Amino acid sequence: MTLQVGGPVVRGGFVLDVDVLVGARAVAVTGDNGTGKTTLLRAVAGLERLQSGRMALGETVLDEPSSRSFVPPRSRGASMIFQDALLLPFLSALDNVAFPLRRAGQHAGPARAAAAAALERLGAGHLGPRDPSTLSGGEARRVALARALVREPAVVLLDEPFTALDRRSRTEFRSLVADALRALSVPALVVTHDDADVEALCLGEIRVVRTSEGRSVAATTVA
Amino acid sequence: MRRTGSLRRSPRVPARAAALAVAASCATAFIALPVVGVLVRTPWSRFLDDVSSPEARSAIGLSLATSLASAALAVALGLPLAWVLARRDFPGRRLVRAVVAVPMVLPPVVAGVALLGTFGRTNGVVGRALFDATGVQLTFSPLGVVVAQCFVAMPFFVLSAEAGIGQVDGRYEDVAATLGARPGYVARAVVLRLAAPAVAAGAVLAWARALGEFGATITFAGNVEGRTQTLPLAVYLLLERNEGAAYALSAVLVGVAVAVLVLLRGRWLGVRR
Repeated sequence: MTLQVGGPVVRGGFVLDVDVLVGARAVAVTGDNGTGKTTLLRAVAGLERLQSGRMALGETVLDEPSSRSFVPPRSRGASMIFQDALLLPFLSALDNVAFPLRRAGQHAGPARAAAAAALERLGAGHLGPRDPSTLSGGEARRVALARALVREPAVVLLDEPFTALDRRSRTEFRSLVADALRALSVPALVVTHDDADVEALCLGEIRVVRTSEGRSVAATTVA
Repeated sequence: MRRTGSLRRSPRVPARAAALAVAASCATAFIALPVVGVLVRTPWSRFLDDVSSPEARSAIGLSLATSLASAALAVALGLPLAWVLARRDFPGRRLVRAVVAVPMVLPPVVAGVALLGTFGRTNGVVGRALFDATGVQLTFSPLGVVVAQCFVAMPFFVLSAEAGIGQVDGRYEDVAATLGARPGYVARAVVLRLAAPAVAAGAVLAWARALGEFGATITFAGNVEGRTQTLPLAVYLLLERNEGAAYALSAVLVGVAVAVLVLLRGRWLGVRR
């Protein structure tokens, strides 16, 4: 499965020209702050639209303005992991993990069972009944990872996933993510500033560079 | 409070600290004394008789029904508006927000006059059309009370709900959308759910404002016992005829006000739930 994006994303006066090709592996997205790394991830998730050009995942066209094709975020199977865990505070950890399955139409029983299994695989089975506000940063990240993986995503988008963690939980969470991405074998974009992240996770690099006022370019530099 | 106490006190100028304490005490007493006074002057031995007289009962019943209806109407009309103000960027948004807040600063009597000019049966543009088309008359009717109360109460709901919706981290919506939630579900089950405390607080505030509404009601809906004579109107009229009963009904409203504050304590008195 290959993710292919070619075309500009426009936000107000800001333009990000994207020309990337990502195979079934993790690729680092690097570049200075404010160049549009997050915008690239949001476009792949369907939270931003291409102004022209084409985005496709394998044979499926996700976004192609010229043919009016656009797959909305909910149907892309793109799981995002942010700097913060962003667990829904009114659901238990288990119900957070079950959320994508419930939205896909599964009944509560099977969804919870699958969610419990997903937590178990990350060594977090015991966190299921907990309220998100009682989880430590590392625990919350693991629940968020389980939520992102539970329905076998087609793409994984990680936006500085380790930045807010202390050194120890960072190393631990990074190896969890590395194992998960290897097992999944789907395109994954990892925004990071840390060479250690790149080394541990990534087999390629997309550099996002600011070229002139309000214009950035994101291109695959190492494939 | 405790931890910052040492920063607030300035031990080197005890005279200034004392003056400050006196000024603060005066302000507190100024507000607390009259409220306590209502409870002191209420003839508690006759309280049950006073609040269960036919006049009082009809005023209490009418006030309950109209204020709950007004709050419900304020929520129904105000929630979409709060959403648009919080989540959409459009030209004139600040103007709309300012217009919505007008009833909060408008003298209630003027609100009543304004409502007469619009919804009155004979001289109101909308009111006359409504009467000609359906025979429904708002003035001198409980419906008119609801219109008057809703007019003054809705801004409290809209501004509180807007603030709550605006504070919801947009990334929760992104997460929910990418995980398969439809836009309607995201709005209802994620954003409104996260904003629920502020939305509920706004509804309670609007209800309390509607319950206490006097000026717009008497101007627009009149003072018809059993139809438009709400609790505050009854209190005002009773003051001349039966002062004890006026105090008793006032005590009821003080009780409601205290209950509202307890309900909202987490939001305005700095106590975190």
